Amino acid sequence: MPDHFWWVFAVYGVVWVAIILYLARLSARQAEAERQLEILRSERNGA
Amino acid sequence: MRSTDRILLTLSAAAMLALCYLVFLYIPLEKTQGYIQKIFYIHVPCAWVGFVAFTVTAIMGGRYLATRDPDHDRWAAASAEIGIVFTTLVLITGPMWARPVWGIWWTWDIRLTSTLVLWLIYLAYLILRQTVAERDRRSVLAAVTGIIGWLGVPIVYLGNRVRASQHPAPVVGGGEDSGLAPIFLATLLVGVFSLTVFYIVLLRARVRGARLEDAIEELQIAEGRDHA
Amino acid sequence: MSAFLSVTRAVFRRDLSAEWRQKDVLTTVIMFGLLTVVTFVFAFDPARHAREEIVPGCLWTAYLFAGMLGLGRSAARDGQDGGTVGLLLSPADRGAVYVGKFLSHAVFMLAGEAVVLLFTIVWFDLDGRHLTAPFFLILLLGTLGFVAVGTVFAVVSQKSRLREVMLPVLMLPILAPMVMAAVEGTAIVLTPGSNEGLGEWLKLLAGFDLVFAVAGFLLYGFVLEE
Repeated sequence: MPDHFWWVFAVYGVVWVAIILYLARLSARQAEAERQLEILRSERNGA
Repeated sequence: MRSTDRILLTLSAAAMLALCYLVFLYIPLEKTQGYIQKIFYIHVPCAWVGFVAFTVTAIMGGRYLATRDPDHDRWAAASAEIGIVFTTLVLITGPMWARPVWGIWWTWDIRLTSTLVLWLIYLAYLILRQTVAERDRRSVLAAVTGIIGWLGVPIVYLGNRVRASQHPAPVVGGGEDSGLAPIFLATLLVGVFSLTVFYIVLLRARVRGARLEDAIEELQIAEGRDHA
Repeated sequence: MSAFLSVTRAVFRRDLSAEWRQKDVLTTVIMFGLLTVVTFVFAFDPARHAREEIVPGCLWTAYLFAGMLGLGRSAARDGQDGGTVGLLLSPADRGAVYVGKFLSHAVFMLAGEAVVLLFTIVWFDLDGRHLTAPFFLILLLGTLGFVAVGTVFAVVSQKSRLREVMLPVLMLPILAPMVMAAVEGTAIVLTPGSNEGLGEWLKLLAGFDLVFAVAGFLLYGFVLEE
């Protein structure tokens, strides 16, 4: 391994982890919103 | 996740793999900085996406003021949030490069300072959005802030010409000595492509989420009205 | 055009007469400005620093923070007596309202700054060698830039839940280039010897003022909307 390989790899790793976690968070938020919207709509139709 | 997003995500991931191959296995070492210089190929694309994202925020803010289409406001807000994510990465990867090369994490160099200022401006933009309850009012105030904040960017960069900078000169279009060997430039462009496409995926996901959340808010308001 | 000017004049007069009665903004700017200067003296012992090292930063920090509190007061006063809404006769007049507000804020700021400067002159032993035309030009350009941005964001921050906290959060990063230029320029003027490099900072200040005055003029109407 060349000098600083792991350091440089860590920099790339920070970027990968950050953007993938962010995308995951967005997807989770969207799924949650969809679920909530479904509940609200069914309540509204039922009432 | 729709099929367009799947295609975009695949493209971005493929470009990221290509970038890693080029960076870690293919391109020769840069003469003066050696291995550390490889950080450049992820640092610069992050900065690029941050700048593009804030520009989109300003443009979409302007379009919102012209059309009053809430969707334009959603694009502006989404882009600002993603811009903050990528600018944060610039502010993390930058010091990680500076530490081994300069021996310090941070210096109050104009280019570092201006990136920090840009980050603070759009952080203020997001805080403003969080603290204005009424939707139309929030959209208008955010649009104005997004536009005025963006105007500050070129002015900050003008200070660059006055104060000496430690930061490496822009390698593309930065003056007489600038310019990269073709293979370095190609590697950089692969990185820019990968992160820009990823930005589009994030933007689309964030806007879809915002549309759903707004729909929920509307339903809840309607509900409240029914009960009243 | 005359309609534009009459709106501008009405806003300007109304602000000045309200200030004449209450003196809220001036009190805020002067008191907070003086206290900032004094605090600076505690933080940086003037006996151990050259004048040009301490005065520029001290003066502009005082103006900045005192000014933000002052603008916050001014916008809060407008909100209380519903003055801004009453002035919104037609959308075409909104630019005129901005010009009127800009002028009255500039007057408040310059008046407050003059008092703070008077004390600073005595405390830091400034004289004719320091208080030259470029010194006052920087003061004027810096203040106009501050007011150009602040007039818009004073209203914006009033509509945020965080109010007085939101104003510095929004303004300080946007003012960063202006502060840098004003402080560096003032330092050059106060340093004995040539004023080399001053022109660049003055150009930056003038450009800043122009860009944000035009932006404020065009966008102010939107932030006044209810």
